[in-house]
Amino acid sequence: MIKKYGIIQRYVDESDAEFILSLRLNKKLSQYLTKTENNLEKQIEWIKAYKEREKQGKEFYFITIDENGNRYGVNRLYNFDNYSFEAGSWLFSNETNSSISILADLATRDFGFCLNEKFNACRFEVRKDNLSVIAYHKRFKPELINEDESKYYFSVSKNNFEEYKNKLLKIYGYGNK
Amino acid sequence: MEISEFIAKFKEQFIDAESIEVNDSTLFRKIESYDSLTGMAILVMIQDEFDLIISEDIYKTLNTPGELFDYILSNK
Repeated sequence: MIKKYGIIQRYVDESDAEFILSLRLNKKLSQYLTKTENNLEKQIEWIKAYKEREKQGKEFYFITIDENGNRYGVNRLYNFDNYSFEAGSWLFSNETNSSISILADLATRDFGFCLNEKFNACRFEVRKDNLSVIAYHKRFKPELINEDESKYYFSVSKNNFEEYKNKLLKIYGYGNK
Repeated sequence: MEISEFIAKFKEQFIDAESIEVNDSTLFRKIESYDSLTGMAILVMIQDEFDLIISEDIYKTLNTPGELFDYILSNK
């Protein structure tokens, strides 16, 4: 369990399947996501397979919760290579306070950079029509490394991530941490 | 900084800045493109331009660019 920036994150497990499915099936939340089948069993099976990847250190899927175990949203780290990792599956319920969602993104990517001292970049992809999230990510000054018909593929350096992260943390009362 | 310049910088934080109208009394949270990420960008802009951090609790009470600007002038 990670407690950082006033939020709590733990690894996703099978008990989260229903919550995750509800997020991925929410019409508004899922408009920029890969389509998910409305099948709880399949979601549970996906999580079981993920837990194997987690054990091997190949992927980390976080759920943000409160002290009472209420669930807010998820973030995921995957596709590690020698010098970088990919971050994605950033999905929070509509009822979540916006600061929690942003702090969870920061805490998750912090975790990624700490996984391996050689990691100096975070990769991510964003749908071209997801203008709000593109604008958010661009504030970290990422490099556009590729694009296709529907998506942009970015990479943000550790230094650039840290610089903008620290600005955000000051706003949320966490300073340079 | 004059309020007109502040409003211009405020407007730049919206993803559709070129197509929206904003003045000092605009209820900015009612602008269709406004979301939590826009709010975050506005607070960072204020931090950068005025070296002032506005907490979320205070920010929630400020509903127009004019109110934001007045708060900044009173607290920087």
